[in-house]
This record gives sequence, C-alpha cells and structure tokens, in this order.
Amino acid sequence: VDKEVADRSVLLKNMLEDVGESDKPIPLPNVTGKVLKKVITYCEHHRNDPLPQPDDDLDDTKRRSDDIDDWDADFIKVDNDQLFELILAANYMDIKPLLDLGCKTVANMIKGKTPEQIREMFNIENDFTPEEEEQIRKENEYVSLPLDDSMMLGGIACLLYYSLCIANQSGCQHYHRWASES
Amino acid sequence: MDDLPTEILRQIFRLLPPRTFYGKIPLLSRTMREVARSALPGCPNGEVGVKWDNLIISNEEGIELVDEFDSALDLEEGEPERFTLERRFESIERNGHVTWTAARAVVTWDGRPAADISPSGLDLLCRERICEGFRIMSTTPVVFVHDALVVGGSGNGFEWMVQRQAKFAAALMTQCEPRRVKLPGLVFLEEFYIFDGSASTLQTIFPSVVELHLESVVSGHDDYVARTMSFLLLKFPNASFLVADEFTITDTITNSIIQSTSLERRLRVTHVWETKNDWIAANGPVPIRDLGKHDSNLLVLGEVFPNISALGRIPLLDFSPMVQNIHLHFWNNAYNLAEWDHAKFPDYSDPFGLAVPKVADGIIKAAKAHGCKLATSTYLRSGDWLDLGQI
Repeated sequence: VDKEVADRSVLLKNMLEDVGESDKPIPLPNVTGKVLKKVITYCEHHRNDPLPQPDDDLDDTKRRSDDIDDWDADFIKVDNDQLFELILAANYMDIKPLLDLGCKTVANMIKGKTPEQIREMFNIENDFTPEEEEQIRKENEYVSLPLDDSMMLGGIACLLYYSLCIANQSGCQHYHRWASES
Repeated sequence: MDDLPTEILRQIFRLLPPRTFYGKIPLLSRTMREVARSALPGCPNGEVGVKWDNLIISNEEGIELVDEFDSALDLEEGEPERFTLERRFESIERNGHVTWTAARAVVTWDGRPAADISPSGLDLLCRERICEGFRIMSTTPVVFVHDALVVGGSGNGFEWMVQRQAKFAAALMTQCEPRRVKLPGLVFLEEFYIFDGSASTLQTIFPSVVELHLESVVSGHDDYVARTMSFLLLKFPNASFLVADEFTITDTITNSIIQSTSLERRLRVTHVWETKNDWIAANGPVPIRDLGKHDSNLLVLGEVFPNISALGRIPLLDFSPMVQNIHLHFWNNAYNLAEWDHAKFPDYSDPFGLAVPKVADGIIKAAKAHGCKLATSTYLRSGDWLDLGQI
C-alpha cells in the first residue's frame, strides 16, 4: 500500500513515523483481511482528500447525516455485520472520515424507524419489562407528540390568551407591570 | 450494534433528529438508554438544562445574523413579527439536524436606544422591551433542533408584538432536559411558570408531568384566574382544581409562593399566590403554616421589590413546622433608575438587588426560628442552577 494511502489512517501514519523506513509488516490484529481490504479501497479513493482537522467536529456540516456522496454511499452498501466491522476498523485505525461515514449510515438506517424496527434491524434485545417500557414512553412522550398537534395546542393557547388580553387590556399589563409601575 | 464502543454509539445518536434521539433510542434497551443519556456533550448523566445567551442587537443586525445561521426560523424583514415555522422545521427534521451543543439566542428589538446593556441593563431590556422572547417559552411548544430553537406554529404570538420584535433564532443550549434549569433569562420562565400558569412552560420544566392538581390560585387579576385555568385545561385535561372557590382577587403582584407535593409526574400545586405588599399589609403574614400540612417541601419563589422599605415585609412569612426543605429562589427586580418614579417611591436604593441576600438570610432565620427541621435554602443568582431534582 502506498504511504499516501496508509497515511489516511492516523494509527498507521504515527506508526510509520515511529518506525521510519522499513519493510517490516505492521500488525493490525483487530482488523480482518476482508475488512482491511475494504478499508484500503476507501483510503485509495480518498487519498487526495484533505486530512481532517481537529476542530472539524465543531463544523455543523459534520453533524449532518445526509451529505454522503455517491461513491461513499455505494461503498458503504454492505450488510450490517460488515458495516459495524468497518466502523470498528475505522475507529481502531483512526480514519475519521470513514468512521463518520459509518456513523452517518447507521444513523440514516435508524431514522424513520420505530423502536421495534430498530431492534429487529440491529438485533438489539429489549431488556425492559413492559412496565419499564411504558414508563419510558411516557417520560418521552413530550417529544413524541405529533408536531401539528402540539403546535395546534400552542396556537389555541396563544389565541385564547391574546383574545383574553384584548377583551381585558389590563390583563396584558400583568406582564408589563414593571413598566407600568415605574 | 451492542458491540460498538459507547463513544461510537454516542456519535451515531448525535446524528439523529431530536424526536428519534429522545423518543426512540431510550426505548431500545437499557444500554442504549444509558448511552443516549450521556450522548450530549457537556451534559453528563443526561442532566440537561437550558442556558440562554442573549445577543441583543438591532433588528437589522438580527436579521443578518439569522440569515447567516440559516436557522429554523423564518424571518422576513419588514414584518419580523409574523412567521410560520412548520415547513422548515419538517425540513430540518428530515435532514437530520441534531439537538446538541451550544446554539445561540438572538433577540432583536425595535432599535430604541437602550439605557444600559450591562447585565442588569439586559435584565431591564428583557423586562421592558423584549420580554416577548421569554413569553414564547411560556406560551408555545418549543423544540430544539440543531442550533436553533424552533418556536411552534404561526400562532406564536409575534403577530401581536408590533414594535416589539423579539425573536429567538436559537438558544445557547449547553444542556437541556428536565430537572435542572439554569437561570440566566429564566427568571421569566420561572415567573411565567407561576404567573401565567402556562402548561407549556410547566411541561418545559417538568416534561413528565401528566397530571396537575392545582388547589387554589390567589391572584391580583380576575382574568388571570380564568386564563390560568384555560391554559391548564388545554394541556392537562385531567387537571383537578380541588378548591377552586378559594380563588381570591387581590391587587397586583410582587410575591408568589408555590407549594408542591411532587414535581414528578403528578405535579400537585396546592397554592399559587400572587400578592402585593399592600395585600400583605392588609391581611397580615402569608399563612404558610397552613400550607405545610401536606408535605415537607416548599418552593418559594420571591421577587424582591427594589424598595428597601418593602423588603422588611418579606420575612413576615411564617413557616410551617412541617416544612423540612425550603428552596428559596429570589430574583432582583432591576429597574432603570432613570425611569424610576422617585417622587412616588423615594426610597428606591437597590437597583441591582444587592439586598436580596439579606432578605434570603432573613427568611432562612425565620424558617429556623419556626422549627424547620432541615431548612435548606438557596439564593440563586442569575446563572445559578436551580436543581429541581432536589425539590
């Protein structure tokens, strides 16, 4: 593998810098040959990309999951097992763009699914009791409210409130009492 | 997926839309729930609160800033008081923006010269000119999406805010979730929690509340009672108003007292009192002793009138021996000295609430003198945490 390609991995880059010029193979015990081959394919394709900067995490665009280019989208079309292996390999080899790609792919798979579908897709065992599950659902139902319903309620509340304000202007002064007192 | 390291799972979850993040991930499994709780940077253990960082700028600058952020809010120059958000919100959800880290609050006002933009001047501005921004919090559902605070619906009240164009394009949300509330601008949130009885505000602070038991409201405004009831009924159809006939009409408001037996799923507010010093003078000390029959927790939210002579009346509060934990939250009512009616209130001498700690101390002493077993009290300054979990 070209050094330029190997340098996409921070782990390999640091090891190569430490070892210097050498023909000795570098062991990667946590990565299978099949996955490594896939990783190398990714690194070869992205060999000329700018290296990620430490403050890239602060970039809003990095927090989006819908900005995957066509080649990457095609590259990452693998089964779940291989996807997670790729993520683990990217994490181990410190290849941030590949790790981001894997995370975004998993996030995209989760979006729009019900908890049951997510569990089934990723073989996650539901270890909650029915009572616990119901409790958690209720705890989080404020974010699960259909948006239109919650907005409608807010709208009704506002209209009601301001109707009351108009009906009795002094009521509005309630909220501006500091100004009126002074 | 269970085999992925926690940090990678967090990284994945941060990419999810808020409703998925909060509404679905915690349901997957115990492990996933725990990971999600710690997924937001700066929010260990899922303890999240809301911190507001208000940028006070002119309308024009505000619009530019909002445009720069490409925020969820749609603001049109010329009539910034009206905007509709649903469509863009859906777009943001669809695109998977994330609810985490710091965002910014942009408050615009009508450009009138501000007397003072120091922190206390900000307070003044919030009260007199841009309190609409806080009112949004209390009257409409709010959703944090990515770096934006999304205010729901076209009925968000801005259409009534001519000349007072306040807008939150986003919030500086370092931490956000129930149970802990950070106070910078939240004096108003707190206040509306009491004063307008807004169910939305209640649920902002206590999102798990599904039942509200409100026993009585003592108010200085006749329509306030009706308005409170209307709000609460909208959001809490199962709310019970146990002694509604105790509603008392007084004058205006300076102090409020809430006693609750639980701030969990069932919020039981036994009394919401709005009183004025005149009312206290006419009716004597507020008989908290009678309120302490139900529970040992008392949350006192007090607004300290910036009139030193009035401060002496606050320690008139009489504490119940049943009260074990007292949580005091005072905020100062900073006035603009230039606008203060010195003829009417000649002894105004505490514009920045410097006397507040003394008042708090006085109440603490009074509480101890009346046999409070554990008189734990806090005087919360702007920026302090009011930890609702301890109440």
